[in-house]
Amino acid sequence: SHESTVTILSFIVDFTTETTRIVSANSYHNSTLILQSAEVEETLKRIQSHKGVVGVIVVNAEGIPIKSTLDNPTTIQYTGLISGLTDKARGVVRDLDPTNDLTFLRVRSKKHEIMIAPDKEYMLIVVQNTNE
Amino acid sequence: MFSKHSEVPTSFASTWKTEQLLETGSTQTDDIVKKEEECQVIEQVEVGIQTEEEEPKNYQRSEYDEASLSAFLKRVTPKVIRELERQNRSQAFHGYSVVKEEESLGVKMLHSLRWNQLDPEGVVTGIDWSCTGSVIGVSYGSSYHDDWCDHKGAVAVWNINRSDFDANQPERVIEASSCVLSLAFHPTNPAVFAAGTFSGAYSCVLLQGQDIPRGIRTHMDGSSGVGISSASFNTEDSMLFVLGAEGGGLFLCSTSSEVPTGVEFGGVGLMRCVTSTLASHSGRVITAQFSPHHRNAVLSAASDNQIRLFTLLQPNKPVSVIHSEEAIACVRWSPSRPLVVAVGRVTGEAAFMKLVAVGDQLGRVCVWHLPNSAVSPLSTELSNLHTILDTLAD
Repeated sequence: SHESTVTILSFIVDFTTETTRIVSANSYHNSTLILQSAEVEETLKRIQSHKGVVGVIVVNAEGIPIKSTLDNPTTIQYTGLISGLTDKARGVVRDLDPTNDLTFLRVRSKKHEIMIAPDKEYMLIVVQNTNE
Repeated sequence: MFSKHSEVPTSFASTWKTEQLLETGSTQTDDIVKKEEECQVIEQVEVGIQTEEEEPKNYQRSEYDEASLSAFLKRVTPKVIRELERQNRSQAFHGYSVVKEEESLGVKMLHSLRWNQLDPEGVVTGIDWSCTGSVIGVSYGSSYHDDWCDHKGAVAVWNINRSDFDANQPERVIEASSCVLSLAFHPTNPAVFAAGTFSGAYSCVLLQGQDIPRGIRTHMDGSSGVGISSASFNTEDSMLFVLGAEGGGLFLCSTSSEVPTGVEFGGVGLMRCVTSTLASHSGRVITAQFSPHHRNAVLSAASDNQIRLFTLLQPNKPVSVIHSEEAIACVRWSPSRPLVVAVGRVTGEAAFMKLVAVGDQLGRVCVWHLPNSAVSPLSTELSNLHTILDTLAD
């Protein structure tokens, strides 16, 4: 409804192209936000429904999980342990070659494979069953 | 004749008495110094604190920027999906298993636990580990009863991780008024266990700091019905459970039943829970257990020396029947290997069987013969079982 109010206002107040441009940009921004949020959910769902995937977690730069398909205690356990491991791995890569950086980390165990995609602002953790 | 006579006293000094010399003197004590000092008793305030189990923070309230998250996911998702697919197709690790160099295949006995004050007639009737795996509880009773139970049963608790662990002296012994026949620890709280006695009473005991553990609740099962000797819940359907009875009957029951029996217990009306039966044994059922790996598999053993494997899809005929030469003491599924079954015999043997094929063919994996110790045969068996399962576990 905020969206519609803004659009109507654009007709009443000013017809200059600039104002309409700003106003329509606002309504575009709101609808983009909703769209982006839906996109995020859809992407996570797509990864989660991939064959063998047990769970997906998104962690922010401070090490706090912001999205997860696993239950709370498991999420917190994974996040805490993997953040530490990723930092260590990144340290190894950069110490070996300061111009290099960690792009992907895979931890394989008897039962699962944990895939970690670290980034500047976020980190994606995907846990998949091994097919043995 | 009478003349005046005046008497003149005479005196003379004593030879042995001496005159005492008297002299006056006086003394004065020094001035007594007095000092006064005041002090105040510190005011005491008592504060009680109770900790509550911490509710984990709901992480979804933390702020994040949708736009940057969306951009991040767009960047990263194709790569991740590619890796996921590659992992699914990969044969790189097929048949690869990490072999630790010093893997010992032999059996090592870790501890032999004994309670010194046990009655000469007493035997071990039940064992359970606490959920943390560091405390083992052993219940004692007598296996021979003529009529009422006159014995004093007990539950002894050892903490094998403590520095002052003594295999001959339990950390704590909780005595009961009659033989304790069964023992089970709480699945999540390591300080609570439940014990059932011969007289039909079962109590929940909380192990606290003080010497006498508090009994939380005691029930008395007065109603006579079918004696239950074993119970086990289904791992996938938590409302379904199987009961093994004294007469050999195996009953499938449900906790979701709504049919009342009209019998009251502790103010709560009891529900009829039996939904169906499995083909019964011809002796007292010793163990009835759902498989921890398969939702339909049930294993049962009875005093007719038979071990039966059932599937719920065919309740009237066991899938497999194993005849044992000696009397069976207990039967358990392996918690880690879906095909391995452990059988404990009254002679002190523990046999492990691997279910190779459905039918009557069962391959025996290994048999250990343990010394026949009259007082605590099950204690040594359990320690060995623990080690065996550790070495056999994948």
